[in-house]
Amino acid sequence: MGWSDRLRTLVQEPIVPFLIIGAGLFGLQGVLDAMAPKGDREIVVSNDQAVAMVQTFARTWQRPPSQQELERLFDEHVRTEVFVREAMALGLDRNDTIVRRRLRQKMEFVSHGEQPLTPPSDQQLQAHLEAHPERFSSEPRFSFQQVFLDPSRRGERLNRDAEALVVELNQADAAADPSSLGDPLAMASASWQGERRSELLAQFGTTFTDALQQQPQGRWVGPISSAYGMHLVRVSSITPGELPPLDQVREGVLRDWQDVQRQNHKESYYRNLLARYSVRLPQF
Amino acid sequence: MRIRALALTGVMALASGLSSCASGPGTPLESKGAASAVIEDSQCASGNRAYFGDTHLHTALSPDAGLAGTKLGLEEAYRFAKGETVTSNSGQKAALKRPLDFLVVADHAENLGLAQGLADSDPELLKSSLGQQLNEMLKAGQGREAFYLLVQKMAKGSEAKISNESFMQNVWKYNTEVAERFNDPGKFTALIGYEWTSQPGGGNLHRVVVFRDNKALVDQILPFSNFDSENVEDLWRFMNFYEEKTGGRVLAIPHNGNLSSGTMFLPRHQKTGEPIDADYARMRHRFEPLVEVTQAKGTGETHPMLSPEDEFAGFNIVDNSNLGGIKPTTPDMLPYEYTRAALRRGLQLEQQLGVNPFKFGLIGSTDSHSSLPSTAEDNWWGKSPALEPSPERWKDVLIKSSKDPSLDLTALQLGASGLAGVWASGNTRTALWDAMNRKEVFGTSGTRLTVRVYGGYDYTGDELKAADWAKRVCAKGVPMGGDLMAASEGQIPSLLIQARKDPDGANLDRIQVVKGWLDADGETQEQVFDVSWSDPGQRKPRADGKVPSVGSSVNEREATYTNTIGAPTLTGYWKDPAFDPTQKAFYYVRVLEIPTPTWLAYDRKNYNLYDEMPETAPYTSQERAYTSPIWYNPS
Repeated sequence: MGWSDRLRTLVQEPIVPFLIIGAGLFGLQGVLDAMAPKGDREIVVSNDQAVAMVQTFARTWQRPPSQQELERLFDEHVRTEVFVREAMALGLDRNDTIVRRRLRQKMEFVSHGEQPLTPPSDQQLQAHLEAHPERFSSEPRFSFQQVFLDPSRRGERLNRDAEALVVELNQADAAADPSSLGDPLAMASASWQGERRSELLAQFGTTFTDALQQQPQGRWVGPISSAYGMHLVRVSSITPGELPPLDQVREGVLRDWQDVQRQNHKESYYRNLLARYSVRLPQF
Repeated sequence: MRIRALALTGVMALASGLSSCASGPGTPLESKGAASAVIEDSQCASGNRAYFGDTHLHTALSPDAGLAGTKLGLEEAYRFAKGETVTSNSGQKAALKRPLDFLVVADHAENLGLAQGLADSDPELLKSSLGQQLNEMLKAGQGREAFYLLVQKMAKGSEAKISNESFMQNVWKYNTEVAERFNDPGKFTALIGYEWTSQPGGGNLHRVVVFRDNKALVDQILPFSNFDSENVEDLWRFMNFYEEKTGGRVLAIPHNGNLSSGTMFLPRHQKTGEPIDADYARMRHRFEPLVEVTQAKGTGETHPMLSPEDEFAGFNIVDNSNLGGIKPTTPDMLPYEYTRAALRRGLQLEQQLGVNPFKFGLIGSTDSHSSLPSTAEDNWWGKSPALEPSPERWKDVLIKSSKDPSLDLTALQLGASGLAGVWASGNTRTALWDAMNRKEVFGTSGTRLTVRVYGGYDYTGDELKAADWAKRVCAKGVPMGGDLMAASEGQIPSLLIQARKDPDGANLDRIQVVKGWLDADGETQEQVFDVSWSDPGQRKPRADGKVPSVGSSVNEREATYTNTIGAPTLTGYWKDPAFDPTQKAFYYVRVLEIPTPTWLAYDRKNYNLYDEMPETAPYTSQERAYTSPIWYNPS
């Protein structure tokens, strides 16, 4: 038995299946009668409650309930109310894992609901955006041409070939199509227009992408290496990544801001409650 | 509710209409012009980019995942797939090294959303006694036991049914809404789908169902589940119904034939046990263009007993029993569990029936149940929450056998597999779906190695010298998944193949062509050819024609390897040396990487488990890719 198993056993409470509770309840009718609270013997279904029940029904079934179904809804409600009151009178809600967990969930939900309903101001979102450029900046974009040289084909000739080819390419018309030059590399186009950095990482790998960023623009240079071999490149432009205007990424910033607020709020809500208690733990 | 009733009535009407004339021709299910017109793109439709994605991800909405502790839902799944950092089910920061291009969230239709519903003690679910039982187990912290129980019940079909239609309706619409929100054409595609989870007696017949369409169409139905029918022919009827009702398109992808007790590719009607007929073949041909050949629970290309001549056949074999460890696998089942055998049998069946029911392309996917689709050996987020990175995960039992502990499906058997590569014209629902439907896809064991193949009669091999060769040759042949027209006098088919390694991954060992054919005696045959390999100067084919091993640079103890062997790219021109224009055949390409450490080796190193983990375990493997076949048909 591992440490975590032992802990689980410690904290686990005996589970009393609902069926046994139910059987017990029916068998103990006399006891119940004797123990039932004297006051509070009135069960009222208010108009508002009735409307809510009808609405819930309609949401699920896409139609209002019939007279018969409405009566059954009331009957269910009253039945639950009776059992809940009697069960609480008997203290069945205490020491029950399910009830305890449900109560904890409800409290966490309450803490959730206590958040300010007012949406964050633009200033707040803008500040959040600027505080986390790594989450929201757009990617740098690259426009360039490339010619692939395969080391396994060219072997020791590769550097010589590369030098000659660079000269040839730079002498040719800038608009010349380099796609028929060099060696084949599956699906690596000769020309890339405004391509995202992540796409280049996926196509050529990190070494190439990082090197590309360092190259002079407007002429053929190289070779630079990739996961596949060597490349001659001609960079025409690199647009650096930038923090977009809030309006372009509002949804993501808002979600992230809310996530952070929720986490903070949940934790501080718990910390505030915890502060009311002193906690002693067993020594392991 | 009303829509659901309508859908079911429609399906049942079809079903009853058909069962009364099950063998009769001309059922209303044949492919219709309107439906098939959409898919036939030109051969040059595939663009210049293979998109990588997962067609088979489960989130907390899948009841088994939810019960087993998956807390992450749809949003986290999409955000993770798009490359964002999320907090994993076990509280760790998780991110992919590179984002996926697309994702199909394929949660189990049966009791979709169950775990969350039970956690909320949804009264609709507690109406079922099994719902109450699971509810209690879940609340007592026995989610894993609840999960095992559910898996066992699933083998008995609708005994496991807890959910009802109104509950389902809400969850399904939520599912499609989130998919819509994360679908970002051109950048990231969220295809809408689900899993039909039929496993009669534990024989895995699961299908992932993938829609081409957006929410507006898909919301008109509810997923057809195993509770509606465990018979796959009824699923196809439902798919046909969907297409007729909405004008949309849908396909299904079977997986894990290895856990099917020899039923996945058994050419018999599921219900009657009678041999399949032409109607069955047409339906399967139409609705199942793909098979998921590799995933975490094993690889299903072929088995060493089926392909004794293939020295690479024993990859990631998981086949002690069916799903749930209920029935041990026996050798007679194997021919009906693996894709290569099924592709061969398809040729035979086409001869008899006029239609090939097993004419499918190959993809890989994860089947991850933790909302985290990952396949890198050194960044594997596991198959389930208990398999997220930890010093204990290697000891985990994914699925406990209800019969015999030796039939447990253990972590040691699992692979960090797989991915689907799709040669689509763009990263959109329609472009990806169309490419999947025309089978221009390949599957990998998780690596992002890329492979492209064209087949034709006029190729010389010189085409491969041009960097943009694919663009030049596509009009003169067919890509993976295509059909070669009958050869005229003297014509011999040849293949142009190019493979490049994962740019962050290992070098390539070799390109192979797997040929299957129907011989003059009506028997099927197979042969594997080495076509292109690294260091051809050093590695000369042996007398039997096979190329020697590439060797290994793996240090298992340190979980390292180097790209000092192998090649970053390989090209191959292959002309069938034994072509007989009168014989049906198929050709597919397999590409092998050099050996690399597996997730087990990385765990042993990272958590320093040298004293605990077994001396021998699959610490090294040769990752690989399989293309869809190209078929040759003499008529």
